[in-house]
Amino acid sequence: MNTKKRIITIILIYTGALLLVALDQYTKYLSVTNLPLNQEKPIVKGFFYLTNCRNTGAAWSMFSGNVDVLAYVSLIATILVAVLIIFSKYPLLSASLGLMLSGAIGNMIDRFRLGYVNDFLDFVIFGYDFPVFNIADICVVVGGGIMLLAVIIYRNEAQLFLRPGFMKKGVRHE
Amino acid sequence: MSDFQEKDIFEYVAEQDDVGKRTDAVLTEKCSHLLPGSSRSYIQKLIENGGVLLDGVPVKTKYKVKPGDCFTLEIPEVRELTVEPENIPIDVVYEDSDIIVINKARGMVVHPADGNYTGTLVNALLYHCKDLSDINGVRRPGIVHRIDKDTTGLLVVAKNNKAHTFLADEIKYHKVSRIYTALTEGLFEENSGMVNAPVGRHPVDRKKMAVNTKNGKEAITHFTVIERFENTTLVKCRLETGRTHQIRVHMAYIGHPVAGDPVYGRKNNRGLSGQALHAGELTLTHPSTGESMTFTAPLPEDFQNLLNVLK
Repeated sequence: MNTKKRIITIILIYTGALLLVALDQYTKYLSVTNLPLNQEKPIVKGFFYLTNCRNTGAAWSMFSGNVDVLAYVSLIATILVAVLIIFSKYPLLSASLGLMLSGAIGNMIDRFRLGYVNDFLDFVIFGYDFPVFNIADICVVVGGGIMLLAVIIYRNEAQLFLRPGFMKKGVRHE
Repeated sequence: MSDFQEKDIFEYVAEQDDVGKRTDAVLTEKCSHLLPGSSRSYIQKLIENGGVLLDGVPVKTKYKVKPGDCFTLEIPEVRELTVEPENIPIDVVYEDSDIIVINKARGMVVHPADGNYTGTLVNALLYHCKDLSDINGVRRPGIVHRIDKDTTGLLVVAKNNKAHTFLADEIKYHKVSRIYTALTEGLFEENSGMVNAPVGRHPVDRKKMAVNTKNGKEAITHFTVIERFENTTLVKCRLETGRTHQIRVHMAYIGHPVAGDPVYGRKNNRGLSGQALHAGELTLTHPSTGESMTFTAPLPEDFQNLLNVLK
């Protein structure tokens, strides 16, 4: 991949991520302005509900209540992922990082602005009331899945997934 | 009316099987039949207040009993208070031989409690009507539910024990509908919703309540936005449960504390002498006739004036 192509890919990934952030924020806005707080609105009874609720923790409401810490953790994650995108060797890896970036930004905005994360997608799967989530969560999970896929696909080609020069030390070409 | 106390003094000599146990445990086990309060927390309070002496020195709760220890227990004898009728004007919304519905003013305490024995609604009621139910004790005749001192609005009082039992049950099983109007800080994004968060004692400040998942009891408040102003929202709150300070705690919890609330609110009191919270609608089943009755009370003057300014 030449430099020009690389720059275009990076720009595309960033633009895509920002569009997803916009989608995430817009759906959250629709949720809080149209749905009653903490009351399930059945879309497919027994399976899919829209429930406008507030999450003060991380996934599955882990570490509930430590919003300040979580907001800064997502800030660090955002910066890290944003930097990694620049050094990514493979488009597939870039795409996965882009998705993760959008998810991290989407929930980080909520945490800094509101002190909690707005969730609204509420599924009951085989009787298990799956935690309520949002578009940003989907981005992170799908991004993580694609990254796993990338790791499997390129497992024989790469010692390191990132371009040489990302870190001067520790990069070996054998 | 004075809360005078006398002391009852007696001694307890440690027995063989008490040795090595904590003082509070031993006294709870062996002396509770002699005391007005039999719980361990009563004994602990007594010890903390210096009411238990060992060789003339107040003992500690954790002190491990030694053979032959002789404890002196000084039990303050509490005389039951008498609550005097007082000629305080009250706004009676409805009255018959079973119930009386009051529109309580801001600042009035519902019933006498520690440190506050006069000027309460109970004092006023005793003056206003001869009969009130007596199953809730001398301090709380007729009182089946409460509203906070600085909250205004409707309160039903039982005039006889039959009505009292009936209403207490109705409240317990959430059959009495109490709808409050509250002016809250900030703009609500939602138009309606509910808050389902347990309310209990504040973990640090014991005088406050708070959303507390450890010791809190289930508390549910439903809200509907009535009107949005520049930076405040007027909401209706319907109580599903009725915990102490429930609406005030729940509204503060979702980031919209009740305006003018001195405990849970913002610093700016908006010229109010207490929270802008008014129990404006009360629906209950009459204990004798079985008829469903709805009472309403207009907003108090200061609350209404504030709304007029905001509009």
